[in-house]
Amino acid sequence: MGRIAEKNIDLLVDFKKFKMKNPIMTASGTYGYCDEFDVFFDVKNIGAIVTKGVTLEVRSGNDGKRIFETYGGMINRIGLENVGIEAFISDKLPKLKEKGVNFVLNIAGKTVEDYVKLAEICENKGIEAIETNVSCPNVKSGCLEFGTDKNCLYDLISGIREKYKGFLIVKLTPNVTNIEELAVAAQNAGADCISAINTLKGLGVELNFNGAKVSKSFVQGGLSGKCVKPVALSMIKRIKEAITLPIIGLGGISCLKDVLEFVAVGADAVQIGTENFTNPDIAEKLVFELAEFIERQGFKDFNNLKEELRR
Amino acid sequence: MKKNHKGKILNIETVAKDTVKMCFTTELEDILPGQFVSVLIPDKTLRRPFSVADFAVRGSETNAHCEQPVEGCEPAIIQEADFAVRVDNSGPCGRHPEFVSGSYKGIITVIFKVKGDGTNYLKTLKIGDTIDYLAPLGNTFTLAKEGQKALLIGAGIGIAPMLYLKKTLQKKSVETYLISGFKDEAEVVKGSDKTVIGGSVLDNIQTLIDEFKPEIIYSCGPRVVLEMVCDIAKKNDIKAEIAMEKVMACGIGVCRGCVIRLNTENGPKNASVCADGPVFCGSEVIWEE
Repeated sequence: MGRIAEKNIDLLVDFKKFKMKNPIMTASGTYGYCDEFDVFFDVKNIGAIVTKGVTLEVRSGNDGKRIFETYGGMINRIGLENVGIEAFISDKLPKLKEKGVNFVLNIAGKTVEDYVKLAEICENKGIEAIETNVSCPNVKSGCLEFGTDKNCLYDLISGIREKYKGFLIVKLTPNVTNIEELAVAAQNAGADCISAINTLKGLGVELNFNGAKVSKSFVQGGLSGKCVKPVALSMIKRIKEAITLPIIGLGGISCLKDVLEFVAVGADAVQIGTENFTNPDIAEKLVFELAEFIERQGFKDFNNLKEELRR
Repeated sequence: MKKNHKGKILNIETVAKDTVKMCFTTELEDILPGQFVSVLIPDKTLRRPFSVADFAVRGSETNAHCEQPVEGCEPAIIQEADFAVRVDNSGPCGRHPEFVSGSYKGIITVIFKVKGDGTNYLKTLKIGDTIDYLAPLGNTFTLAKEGQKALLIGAGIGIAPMLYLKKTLQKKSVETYLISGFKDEAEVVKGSDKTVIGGSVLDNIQTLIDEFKPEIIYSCGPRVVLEMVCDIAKKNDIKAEIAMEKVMACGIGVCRGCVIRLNTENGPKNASVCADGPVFCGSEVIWEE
């Protein structure tokens, strides 16, 4: 952190209920609960980490192949394997606090009741910020994803809002026709912030030939990585035009130029996802690069850079 | 401990059909048998994991890394700012990379089969090129005790971690026997006590077990072979440790992409091949599909 402190560049992101020392976050599912990345850098240097999605119960995730590499990205079908909220509170939360890491808890569920219970627990435990994964199938409405129907999303977020006073982020799915109306529904339901985008639906096909004998396997899951960046940028621009809430942008960010593009179209902070797998020290590197860039170009601080990028 | 590293390639050569051996420098003072490195491939999202086939502390034995001289390879000097390598064909093993300067502490060797984009890229690298890798990753084999007998089974390129394990066990005065199997003569990677060509590496394994009477079996290779090794070990009431492979994304246990199921005292549970493995106790693995 010395390098930034010396330069005294103000990268602060102030969402009122939630503050981050800089706009670089790490995306859910790519950083676990922050147990592992210490071997690459001091995780306190980044704005915040978003935990792996946590559900009420322990989940063991999907069987079979979970990862498929694609051109410029990857498809995953992990199936929300996670330790469950109880173990998160007892094992992971104390470690995060001890490390002094700024974090957002990502929550997921199968029913509105699941989310509401999780929200209540978060409220009671004083968790400052949560990100709601709404790309999960709602088992009570024919397994349609919460985040694909505006009424369904409104009910979900209203339910969470009632029980949770902290900073409430809603992570939108790009697998919809009209993302603006989902963003508006989340805003109307009382969300504090939108993060976008979650993964795109994708299919990996593997064909093997043994002479004239063919064997094949499919990996149906969420596409992420560099290849989704233009989709994410387009979605964020549309969301920005539809709502007044702050936006956290993510989807294929791998370098400073990407960060600046996301800020230019409306993001107030960004999350680094898949690139953490390729370059595990990328998040910290981007913090340094952003500070250096602001200084070199002669911007006053991050907010000033943001204003100029949006002008 | 820092896990992201840059290494200079000291030697890269084809040691068998579509099989490349690559030695590179490391800041690490040690890396254990079973552990792996994860190499960055330009323009690829996923790093490529490779078992460590050998490790040598700087200045110690270099022979293991360069036992097969490459024909027509001229002595070369690769000079960079803080680093220079001299490749000298007169060394004890034909090619002996000697460092004029550089801050590395050891040399890691990997052996890989050229199969996809990643390995096709790596095979084009030259002595002196830099690679970006994460290490040490994963757990290690439980080393047999002094005076014990260990049977090592390497199927195909699965021989790679077996070579380093064998060397390590021998240093501990464990009696080892390494049997490996390859599709054909051209694919054979040297270093085994017995090499099976064509057929299965397990064809006469029972006879071998009866004669050698190992206390432990170690193995690495395709899933189907590992499953059979575990069966054979169970039938003979011998402990088996196997090194497994699965497509990985993070390599450090975060993403849960390379998970397998294990039987434990508290029922089945998930384990990631990259962080909880790649070495597992054979009797614990639940074979899916």
